[in-house]
Amino acid sequence: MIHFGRRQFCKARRRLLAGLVSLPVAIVAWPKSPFRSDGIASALRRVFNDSIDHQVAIGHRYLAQEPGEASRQWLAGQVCGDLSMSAGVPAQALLVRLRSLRHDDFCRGDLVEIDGWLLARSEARLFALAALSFPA
Amino acid sequence: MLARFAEIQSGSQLAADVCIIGGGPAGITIARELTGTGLSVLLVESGGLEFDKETQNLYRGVNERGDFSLHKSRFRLFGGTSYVWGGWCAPLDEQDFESRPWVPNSGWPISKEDIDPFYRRAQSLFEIDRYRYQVEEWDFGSTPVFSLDPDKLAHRMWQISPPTEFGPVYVDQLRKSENVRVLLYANVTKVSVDPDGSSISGVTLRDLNGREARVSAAAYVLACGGIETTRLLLTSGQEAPGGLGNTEGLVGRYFMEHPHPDAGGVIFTTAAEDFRPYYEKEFESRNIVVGLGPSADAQRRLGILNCSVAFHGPLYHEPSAGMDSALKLSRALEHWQWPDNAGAHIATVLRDLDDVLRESYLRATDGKIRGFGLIARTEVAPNPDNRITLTSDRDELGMPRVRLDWSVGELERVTVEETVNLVAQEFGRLGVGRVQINQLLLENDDRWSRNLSWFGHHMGTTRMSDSPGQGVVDTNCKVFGTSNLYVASSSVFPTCGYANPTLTIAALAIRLADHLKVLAKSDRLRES
Repeated sequence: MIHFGRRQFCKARRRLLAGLVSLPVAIVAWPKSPFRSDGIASALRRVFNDSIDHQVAIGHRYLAQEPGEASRQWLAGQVCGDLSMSAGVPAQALLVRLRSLRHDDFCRGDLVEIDGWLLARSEARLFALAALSFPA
Repeated sequence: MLARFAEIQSGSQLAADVCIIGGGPAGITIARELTGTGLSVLLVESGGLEFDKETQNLYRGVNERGDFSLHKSRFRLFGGTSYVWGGWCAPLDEQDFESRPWVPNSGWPISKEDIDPFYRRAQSLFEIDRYRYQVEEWDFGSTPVFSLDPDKLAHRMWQISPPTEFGPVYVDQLRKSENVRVLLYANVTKVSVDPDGSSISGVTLRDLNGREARVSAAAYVLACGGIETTRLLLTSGQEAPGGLGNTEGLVGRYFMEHPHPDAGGVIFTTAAEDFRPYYEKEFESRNIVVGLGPSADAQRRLGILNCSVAFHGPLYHEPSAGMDSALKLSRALEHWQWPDNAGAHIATVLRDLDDVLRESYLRATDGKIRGFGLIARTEVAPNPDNRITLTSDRDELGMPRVRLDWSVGELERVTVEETVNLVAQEFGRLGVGRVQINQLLLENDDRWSRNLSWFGHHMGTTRMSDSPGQGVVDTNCKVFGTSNLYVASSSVFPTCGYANPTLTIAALAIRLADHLKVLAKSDRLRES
């Protein structure tokens, strides 16, 4: 378990915002570099444009709030659904799913509060998956 | 005509058809409306045309919460508190007038429909555009407002007055009036009742030099604001035990003020330009502010009060309580004022010093706006325990000073929390931004209410009702149990919505003036 001090977490929080902004850019770019069979970690690197630290920090924070969700397999199921993280997965479909999950969460009001930030639950789970995929 | 109290002989007996007590926006509005009617009108004002400290000190009193001073949140001169106001104009919403089961003691005895024509007439007093408070009625150019889910959010809109200072702007009109006399430096220290206790027989005037006079009129209008009106009613109790209009013990109760908590901030995940209607202040060459708040359906579903949030203070980095406090301090110091809760703000700045320095640096060097702070303005639930009473301490005129004893409750905190949550949901759904809530709003205690901004919206202490058991004035703003005493003030508001009160004060004042004109026509001004 990684413990973040307030100052460290503030830095991570700042970078999260950059991540939230860059996510649509990654989504647009993804079809040009389709998913390969290097698993969840590799896929997440692509989603987050190789800048994973801040998502990991937020993910840890979420897992501290929701310890019952600290399962990589379970989170992958929530984030990816029926789409497996293997070769040949239609990347565009996965990205569409991520966007749709996020949209549905906001419509339903299923938000998660992390250090005051009000995020879609699926967003937080994506970060939690990153946290479990990139242990310190 | 305009005169100073020193110009009339001490011991004089003055007479008028209508005596207006208080020369703020309400009193001036009624005097203007009665100009040219043939009625003899006397407006008595405690202050002069300019601010003076001695007169202002008459407003000193005790606010038990300690977060604003009673003599700094209202002004005692001709023009009243319009001397310092921000000019924000907005009408109350339709649901603000309704009785809402989840808001104890809510509901006006009149509807929005009843007051709408008077809102329209009041509009021109504020030197603003025609009456239009729906975003659909405005052209925002190439960037329209967001299309919001009506189950969750609705737009809020203010038109911003220059701001109109009622004193300087309207003094000449009243000076030239043939039937309106304005008497400056004349303090009403007592409202007297005739022996049967139902009719006002006169008011006593005094100045700070001990000179006295008396006014006798057919009708009297108390237009002294939410606190002073109450003070006069409570003080004038020799013939009416407990104070005038206070047989039910309601005078001074249900005090309300709009808390303005720092609600957090929004960081854009889209181009800042998409938010232009929410941070630009000028459209169609007019100054307006567009904000957001829970829709009527959301208020009902969530069991919350009315509320608004608006952008304030661009963010070059991210929201922080430290920067919010730094901005509040800097704004106050720009006006050569020292905020009442300066110590708390300084402590917050020091605690968040790294964020404050980073934000300040980026403001100076980067210039790229990444978001905005959010300031909320929430309705408060009318609570009989929020109360103004008299103290044993007396002012220079021998009048008891007031004590304000009140609190801001859990429903208000939940209202702001839910409102910010709805904004987060909608900005997320639209894919335009992420919201950070001020974490104090998430704590189930009163810490959030210890760092609020206040803007002198004193309301509710002589509430309007259709029965004397539940209010102090009737639907015509006449004090129950009296035949000729009226109130023109935000003190008559039974609930306060989120809207700044001045436009509603003026609308109700015009409505009252119309009522007085009708009574005068049928020779029923003194209705006894």
